[in-house]
Amino acid sequence: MTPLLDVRGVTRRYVVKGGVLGAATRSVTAVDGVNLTVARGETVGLVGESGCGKSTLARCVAGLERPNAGTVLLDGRDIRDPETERNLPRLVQMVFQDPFSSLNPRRSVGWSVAEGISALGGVNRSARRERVEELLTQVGLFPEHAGRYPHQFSGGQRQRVAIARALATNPALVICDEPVSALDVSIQAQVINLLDDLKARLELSYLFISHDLAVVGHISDRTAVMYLGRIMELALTDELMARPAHPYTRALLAAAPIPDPGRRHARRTVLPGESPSLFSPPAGCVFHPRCPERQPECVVTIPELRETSPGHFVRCLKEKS
Amino acid sequence: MPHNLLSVKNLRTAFHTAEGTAVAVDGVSLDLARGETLAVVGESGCGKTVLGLSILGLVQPPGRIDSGEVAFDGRDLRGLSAREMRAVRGNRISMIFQEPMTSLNPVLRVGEQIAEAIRLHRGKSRRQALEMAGEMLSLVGIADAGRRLSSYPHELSGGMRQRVMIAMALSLSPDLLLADEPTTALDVTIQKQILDLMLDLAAAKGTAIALITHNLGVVAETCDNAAVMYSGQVVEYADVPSLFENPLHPYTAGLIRSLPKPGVRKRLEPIPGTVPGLTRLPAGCRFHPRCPRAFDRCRTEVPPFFRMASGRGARCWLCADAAAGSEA
Repeated sequence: MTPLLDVRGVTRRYVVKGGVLGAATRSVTAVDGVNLTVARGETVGLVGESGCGKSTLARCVAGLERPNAGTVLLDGRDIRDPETERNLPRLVQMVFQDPFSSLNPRRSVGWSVAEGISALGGVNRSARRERVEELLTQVGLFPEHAGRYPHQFSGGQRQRVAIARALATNPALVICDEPVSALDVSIQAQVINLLDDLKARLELSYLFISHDLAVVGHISDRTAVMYLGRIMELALTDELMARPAHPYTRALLAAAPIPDPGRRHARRTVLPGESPSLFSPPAGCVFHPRCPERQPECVVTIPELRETSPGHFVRCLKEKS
Repeated sequence: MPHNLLSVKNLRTAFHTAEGTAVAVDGVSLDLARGETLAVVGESGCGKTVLGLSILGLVQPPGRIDSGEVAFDGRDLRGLSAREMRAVRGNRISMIFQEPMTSLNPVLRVGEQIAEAIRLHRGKSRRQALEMAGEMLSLVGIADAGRRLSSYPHELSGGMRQRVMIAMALSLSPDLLLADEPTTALDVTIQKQILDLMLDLAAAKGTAIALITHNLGVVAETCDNAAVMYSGQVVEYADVPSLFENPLHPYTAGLIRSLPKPGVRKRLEPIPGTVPGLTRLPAGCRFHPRCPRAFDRCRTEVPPFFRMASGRGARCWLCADAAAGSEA
């Protein structure tokens, strides 16, 4: 069966001007040959630290960035085909981390939600108002909220508005880019439950991006771990959490603080150093400078993403298929 | 009886604005012993940052400390002149904030910034101070510290800048380090490095830490005791293992329950509703509109802080019967 989303070999490079009068140019590869699928009704989590390329990949999928290489297929059609491109708002929508900067502060939230509907055309005014009220109710707000402005809402409520707007076009795929990272924990849980409910009710699929492993672990069916533009490991979420195969995944899991003092380890392994600059990625495996299990060959040989057990992919020379 | 390193009593800090008075810190009392690590934990707007600034004497108008006491090593800091307070802040109390870029001087090399503090407070020569700055930089794990002394803040990554802040904060071996969300802007692997570093250095120098954070995971892994704040008040105080094992206040219990647990895939249990605005506080217990266990008394009467025989306590009527005593 055709997956809803099929990302094939997507690479996104940026050229950065520098030097005197911008004469010198350097390029960084933010996303490097990524393959990823999302099936209908599936939630795929994308985790990684800042600069790993997860948001750039999301923007390529949403059509906000044009990849330098590779293709993005939605329902088997290239999103660069003119017809698919026109229809893109009905296929994919995005929810961002900070709804305060993604909602127009001078417009009522009803207007912002309606904008998504109007973009598609052919809807009269009263049908549009009804649809706005339906959408607001669907995300746990009230129809009378339509006349209010973003600053009159709390952070959690604003994120609900942003979700309502994303749903306005009935998209099949919703990309959530750190949707709960700016919210307080008690509110975070409310929004996560809402996303869970909407998925079941509207048969949505999510590409869910977060730096928070606990959140991704809760919401995703499968999870991909990214580092320096590449997917390092991809597996069913429960499998990934229980049997992480890549040293980077293990380090991420070990570094995430756990709210259980009983599991406080006196000295756990700390991943040394920081992510290298994208301007000068290391040779061989990009993770080798920080890897606690580095072998001599890791410095020179670039590992492939290999399927080591059914559905479990690992980019590490130590993992033999 | 020997006094605590830091003793805050009935502290009240309010912001007097045209729209009304917002009491950001409302009757907070806390004690911190030498070498202890205390978490001040709460969600945005609970008053944890203003509490930190009040302790440091850094509240800016329209904010003002209205009443209460901040005793440091037996001396009331509120009675000190601005000059005396600066000496305490440099020598005995250091601080680290969330975004090091705003705390570092962007046009001064990091070596000189660290050395300046050492020169002013320790009376060292410029050369000796720079040498010590270099030692501090390698102590906080900055590779090639000698060369890094002449870097400007913008040339460093977020994690490195926070290391520089720690080097600066601990270079004078303070008695107290006040850290306000020191790792919130950092990636988890860097967060782990920074927290370990802070704890190791503090332990080696006998420095007490007041760690202000919203992150319960960080609290569980790093602190001895914790004060949970809600709407300007401390609603629960306990040693960290007891706090997580048996939270007394329904707000603490709600916070812990609302977190996703690794390996457990059941529906999350959020706290309903939102934090009330500081100018529109509910009558009775401030948490009662969101509390699953609220009863009649909670809606009308403000609960005092009930203290148990074990030393922990909570601002909740449910604790009234078990309490050994209570404080307003």
